[in-house]
Amino acid sequence: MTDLISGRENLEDIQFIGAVGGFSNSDVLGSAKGWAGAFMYNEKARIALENFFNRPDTLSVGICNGCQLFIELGLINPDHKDKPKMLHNDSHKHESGFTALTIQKNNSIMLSNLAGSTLGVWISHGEGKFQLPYNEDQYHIVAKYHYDSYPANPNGSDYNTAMLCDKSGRHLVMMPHIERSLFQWHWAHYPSERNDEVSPWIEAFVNARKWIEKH
Amino acid sequence: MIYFFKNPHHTIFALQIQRPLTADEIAKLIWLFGGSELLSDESLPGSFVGPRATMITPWSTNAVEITQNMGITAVLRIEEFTEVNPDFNDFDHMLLQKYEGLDQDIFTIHLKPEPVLEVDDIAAYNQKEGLSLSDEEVDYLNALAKKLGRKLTDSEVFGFSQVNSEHCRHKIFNGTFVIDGTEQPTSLFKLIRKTSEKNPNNIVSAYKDNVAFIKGPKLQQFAPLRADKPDFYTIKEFDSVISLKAETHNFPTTVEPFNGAATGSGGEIRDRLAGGQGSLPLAGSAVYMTAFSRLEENRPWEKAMEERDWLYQTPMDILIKASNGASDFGNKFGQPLITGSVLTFEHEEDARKLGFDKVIMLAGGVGYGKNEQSKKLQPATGDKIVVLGGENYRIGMGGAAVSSADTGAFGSGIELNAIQRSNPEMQKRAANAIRGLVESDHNTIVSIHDHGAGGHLNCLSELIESTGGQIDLDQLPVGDPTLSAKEIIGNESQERMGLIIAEEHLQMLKEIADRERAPIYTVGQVTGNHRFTIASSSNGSKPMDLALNDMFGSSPKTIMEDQSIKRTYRDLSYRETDLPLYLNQLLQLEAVACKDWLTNKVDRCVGGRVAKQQCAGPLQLPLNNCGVMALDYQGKDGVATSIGHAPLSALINAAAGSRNAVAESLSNIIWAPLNEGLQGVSLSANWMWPCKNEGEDARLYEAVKACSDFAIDLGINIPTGKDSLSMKQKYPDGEVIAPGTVIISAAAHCTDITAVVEPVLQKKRGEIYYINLSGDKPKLGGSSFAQILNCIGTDTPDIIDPKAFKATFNAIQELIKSGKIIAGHDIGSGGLITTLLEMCFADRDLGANIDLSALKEQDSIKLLFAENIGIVFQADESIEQDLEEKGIIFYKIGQVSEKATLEITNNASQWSFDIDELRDIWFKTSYLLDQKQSGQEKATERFRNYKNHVLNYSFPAHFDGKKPQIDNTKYRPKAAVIREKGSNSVRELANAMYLAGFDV
Repeated sequence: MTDLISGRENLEDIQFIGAVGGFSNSDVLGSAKGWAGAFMYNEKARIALENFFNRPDTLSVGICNGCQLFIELGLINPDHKDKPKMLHNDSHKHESGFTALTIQKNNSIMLSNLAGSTLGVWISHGEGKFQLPYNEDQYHIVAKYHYDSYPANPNGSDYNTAMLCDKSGRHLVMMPHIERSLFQWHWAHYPSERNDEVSPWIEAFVNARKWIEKH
Repeated sequence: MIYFFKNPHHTIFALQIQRPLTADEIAKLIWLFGGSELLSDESLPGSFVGPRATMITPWSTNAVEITQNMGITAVLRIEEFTEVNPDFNDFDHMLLQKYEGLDQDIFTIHLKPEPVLEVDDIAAYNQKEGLSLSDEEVDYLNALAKKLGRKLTDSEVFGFSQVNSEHCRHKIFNGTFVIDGTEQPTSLFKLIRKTSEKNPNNIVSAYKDNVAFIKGPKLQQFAPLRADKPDFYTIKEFDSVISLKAETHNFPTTVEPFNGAATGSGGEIRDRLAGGQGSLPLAGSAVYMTAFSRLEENRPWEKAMEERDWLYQTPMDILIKASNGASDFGNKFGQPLITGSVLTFEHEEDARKLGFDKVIMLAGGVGYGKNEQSKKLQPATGDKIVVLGGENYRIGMGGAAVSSADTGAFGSGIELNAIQRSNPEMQKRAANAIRGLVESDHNTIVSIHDHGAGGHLNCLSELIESTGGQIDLDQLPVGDPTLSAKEIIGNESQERMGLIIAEEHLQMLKEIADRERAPIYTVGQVTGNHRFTIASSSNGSKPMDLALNDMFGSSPKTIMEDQSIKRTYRDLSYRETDLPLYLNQLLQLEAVACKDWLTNKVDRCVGGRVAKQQCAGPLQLPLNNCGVMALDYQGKDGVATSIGHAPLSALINAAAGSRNAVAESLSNIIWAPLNEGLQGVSLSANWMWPCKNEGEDARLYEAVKACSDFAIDLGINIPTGKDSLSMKQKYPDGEVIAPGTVIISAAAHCTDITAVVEPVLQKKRGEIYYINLSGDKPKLGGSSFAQILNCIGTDTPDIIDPKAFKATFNAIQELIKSGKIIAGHDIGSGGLITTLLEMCFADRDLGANIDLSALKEQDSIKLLFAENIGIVFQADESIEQDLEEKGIIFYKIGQVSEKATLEITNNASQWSFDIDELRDIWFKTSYLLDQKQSGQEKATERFRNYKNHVLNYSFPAHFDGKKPQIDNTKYRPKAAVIREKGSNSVRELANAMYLAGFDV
């Protein structure tokens, strides 16, 4: 972030960005709020990100805190009057667990070829509840929790949403940590009969590379 | 001036700025404060609760930085206030205060820093300030003042009391023990040290540094090429060391559980940052011990001893808040917590009250570093002394000295002042800056220490212990302008590291720190004059100027004289027919019951290195007692860690308690394949004992000696540990003594993180076996079973033969390495029956048919509830020959079934236990505690659903499980990770991108 604010980095030669998890500014004034403020009110950082999203040859993924950031910036549903929001989990506390996601039929460049799968994944967040003010058909929901009740759905998200993407399929946000669920040994429970070097989640990143190589 | 913003939820944000706000800035702030309106009033009527005026909160520091990032300058402070009813009083008085009206003066403190004082009467000053100086130490200081021909300053006396406190100097552990009139040949510390002398094994560094290091494998570092500017990730090989450390924060957690436990975790993480020339934390562990929680009425085992009029917080509140604090720190810092333990206990017998009223909170952890950086270097004259991290506030004044006393011994003002506050995000920034240097090809840090007890005084004096150094008081970062010199150098504001670096390398460190937004202060330099001097460069005041010899030179030898006391505790009486009732109660004891309430709020995946954490099976229940972290992203080498303790067994026999604690930690870590088997394990021993109470010093000596002897016999070492020897709570009408406790943390290099065994029986595979590692007959003394009968008992199990223990341990290791063990679990709290049940809990339609007749124990209660150290595992029958060849005694006790019942036969007795029903009973205590943290509604939903949310996957048909093959001769598209201070998942995302073929 310091590099973007100072203009040392402008993302011009980058084709894929990931905004990562954590507690930016300790979640003071709301998760990712201060991070979003640093983009919105810093000319250099704001323009670098805007230009990146406007280029047709780019992809992005926002995970956990990064998801909260891109939602706060309104980047996933830019044409909606009422934007999606990320709220506190219904339990009003941090939720940590290994749950599973069912991938919906979806337009995400990273995940469309996993549609129909149910896969294990880590979650760890305090503010992961998607508040989606319109009907479900107004959103591109990429994945849902495998059961719609707590604790499999850890936060009480509308439509049981775990991942969302934009209209173009290029910009994906998610609360679960697929990047911490990449290997068999990452999974807190893996089918005992399998012996895999990587889990299917690696395909999300491979799909991203293949798409970029073509564009 | 102060502006007030009000949001729709009646929160007031008070913003202090040096100049008026512009319209543009007001618009930004309205957005930042979530659509608040700016009030036009200069003052607001009504009652409010907000932070204490004198303390700028970490929250404010973050909020001010956010405004800076948004281009608003000159903001001094932002705090949150909540409007309340005038008679509202239910808030934390330590952190908050009530305001009658808010005005332009709320942040004005009518306090001037106190000048440097010359102390006339050291004894009186000691008394007044609660410094815990002994009479000999007061005499020493009087003599010192005479020798110097001047009065000592308040800073010098205070500083001396901190650096020479029991907390820092371990006078008891280094002291002489005279038991029953006989002087013991060695100190406690020497007993522990002997384990490393006899069995140096893989030790790289022991006792002298902030952590212990043992030799680790060759690893691949995945890190940006440089840390001072954006650069691409590269892979480099290095020889590693593995770090192990455990600390306790018992006193602060008793008094203020959230911050006490949070800063306990934070402080322990800083220790693992400060090994050698810098090292990196990987994962944490936590142990909580309190009095009974009294969650609901119908818990008869909690009735025997009358509830106390708790001095600070109830045990239930401590359990919730302390674990919230430890979890919050790790979650925000970005360290997963992968193993832990809980024990609740109180007992009254012969008018003697025992219990963890003074609680135990242990924070431990493992990490790694580079072998070439594993030793601190010698500072050279002229080297710079640097502080990295947060500013000084009036926080934690005198914690080192106060924590060395019984709780309740001082006025609560002194005790509350001594509690620290946590700011994990600040620590993350400092840690990132240190990581930048540790990962570089040439780490220029000469020496590094963390700030903990004793603040700058301890940290900086340790850094220059062998050389001397001059500190400029004006350069120490001050967050509270009213601090006196003594308070600046002695407060325990957290999240700071001190280090020494040569002047020529300072610029690089500054660039890295600036990029990580880690505040950095050059505060002094190494002199070589063997003095510790703190002076103001602007006004010449000199609060501290002592020769190091004088500062550390007091060596009043501590002599602990005690008589051994033979105590016997009432024996148990029970009936076999009541077994179902006993089991029902036992499964609700916090030590035995499900720990979901702890694991559901603590991060167990951050960093992408967690290979084994608490939860297992399709139901993800917390059953694993062995945690494993990957050392790199290659998925092979790791570090395994586990915990053991047996304080109730130790009440009956202090020596047996130590052996059981060590053996428990080993029966937990056994499930990970370890480099060199048992010999690859190193231990931390943390001693919590109510010293200076009749008979207890003798028991401590016996316990430490047994621990040392047992480790030596097993061929392993104890390269680190800590002691906390004032484990007693004083009440106006009496006192409660905490049972002497040793907590063992074990760590070892795990050679295959994909082959760690879990306690979940597998259907249609293998038989169930039992091995008694204790070699002792089943005995009920000191067990959880005894606890539900309100007894301690007379006879505790012990470990009879260390050689046999070692042989069995290594035989099991071989079976694990050859993939022959399908499932396995230790026998710990709750005995054999709990182990068997737990192995059936984490899946549905899973049970077992068990026949224990071959064990030849007629007393089924003893057989099922005794906590003799042992293991139960599932394997195919080929292991029988392997074990027989090694002469290891084992019993085949049954088979796995696909019906959710546990059928147990012992001779003529038979029981059938319904797994689904008992799983709920076992979960119930967790549910009751969860109500206090997740609310009634969500806790109930969790309790209803946890057993129905079975993990069932459907993998894509095209998936072959192979790593992507990347043609490195081809162009790699460029990806970037965007992060902000506080981000903690950078490496795992970068690694995912890298693996998929991106340049990151």
